[in-house]
Amino acid sequence: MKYITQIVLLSLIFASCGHSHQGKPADATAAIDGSTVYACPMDCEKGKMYTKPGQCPVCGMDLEPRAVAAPEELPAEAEALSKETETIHDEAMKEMAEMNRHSRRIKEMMTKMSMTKEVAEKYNGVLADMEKAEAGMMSWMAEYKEPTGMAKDEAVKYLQEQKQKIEKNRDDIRAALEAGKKLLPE
Amino acid sequence: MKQTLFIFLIVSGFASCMQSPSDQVLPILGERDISPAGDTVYPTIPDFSFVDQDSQTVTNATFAGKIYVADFFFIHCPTICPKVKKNGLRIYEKYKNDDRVALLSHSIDIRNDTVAALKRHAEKLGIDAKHWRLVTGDHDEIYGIADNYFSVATEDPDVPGGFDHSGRLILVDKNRHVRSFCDGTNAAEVDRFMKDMDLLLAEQFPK
Repeated sequence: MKYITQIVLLSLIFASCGHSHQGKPADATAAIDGSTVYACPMDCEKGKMYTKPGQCPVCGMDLEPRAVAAPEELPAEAEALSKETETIHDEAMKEMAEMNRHSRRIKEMMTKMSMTKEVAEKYNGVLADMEKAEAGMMSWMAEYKEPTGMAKDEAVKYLQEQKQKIEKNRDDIRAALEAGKKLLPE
Repeated sequence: MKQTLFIFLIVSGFASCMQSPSDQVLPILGERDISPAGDTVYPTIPDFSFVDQDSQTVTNATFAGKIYVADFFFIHCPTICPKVKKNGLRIYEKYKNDDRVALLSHSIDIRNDTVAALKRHAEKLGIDAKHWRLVTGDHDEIYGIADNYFSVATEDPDVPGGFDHSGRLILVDKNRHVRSFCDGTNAAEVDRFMKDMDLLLAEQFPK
């Protein structure tokens, strides 16, 4: 899971490379790669950048130098998000393993003791919740993709959604585990 | 006190370097027990029965007289598994003509990784089922045996994500004992692990 960060970071670096010449003017303090572009101070052409100094073809003002943002500067928000997502996923995986241990013990116990139909239904309900929570994790993992080739805003939005999904899933796993614990003797 | 420890570490470091490779024997991992008869009992991998990419039943008997590398994965894993598979392929390439060695990858995604899906995955990897089994089976049996494989590999019990998702490779000997393990995502660790495999081969298949 930790590799998600790197992959996301890398893909955002690539995404940001494709973005820097058409997006918002880059922050001049962010120059690390040393390259400079020129843009109209009035932003007449909506973020258009030039590789050489000159005048804006719309308003005629002198173009201002702007440093191209270093790739590291761009994905900070997305990187933080993917790290959070990663941490939640790791927690959830750990709890899922614990949940599965409980589900095995519950099934084993059910084969050994006789129980009323009502009690059996309650136990089966918890087991079904555990199964559902695990299925949720599996489909999350199957669907989750590194936001390769996405623009920064798109990647951030995607990661926000993914984070919410995995949070919900972790809570489902946690709830099923807690319910399972209650069914087993200490 | 710190210095003493430091010196001790240096000395023990040299001591392990000086040991000639032929003298090295891999330990049997896991907590040992003493039987009522007074014998030392090591944890062993219990009986299992799974199905591989060719719909063949895979049991302990499949690995009789072999050493094998076990791991847990699933096809749709976005991050860790592809790295582990890449390193697994290095192991596969090195030993694919050696019938004393096999690989066993358990899918933890019972719903999606059907036999047909495993077959496609095996074809994609270009692997031969005789040397690398991708197996599925009963959910509880797979997760249960994961606990068996990993319970002896306790170096880092707080590995993020838990062991089922750790990308660990586990080396099992002819007697179902776990002898070594490594982080399958780390190429350097896998290099060390392959040396352990050679050591185990030398021990269990003396010329």
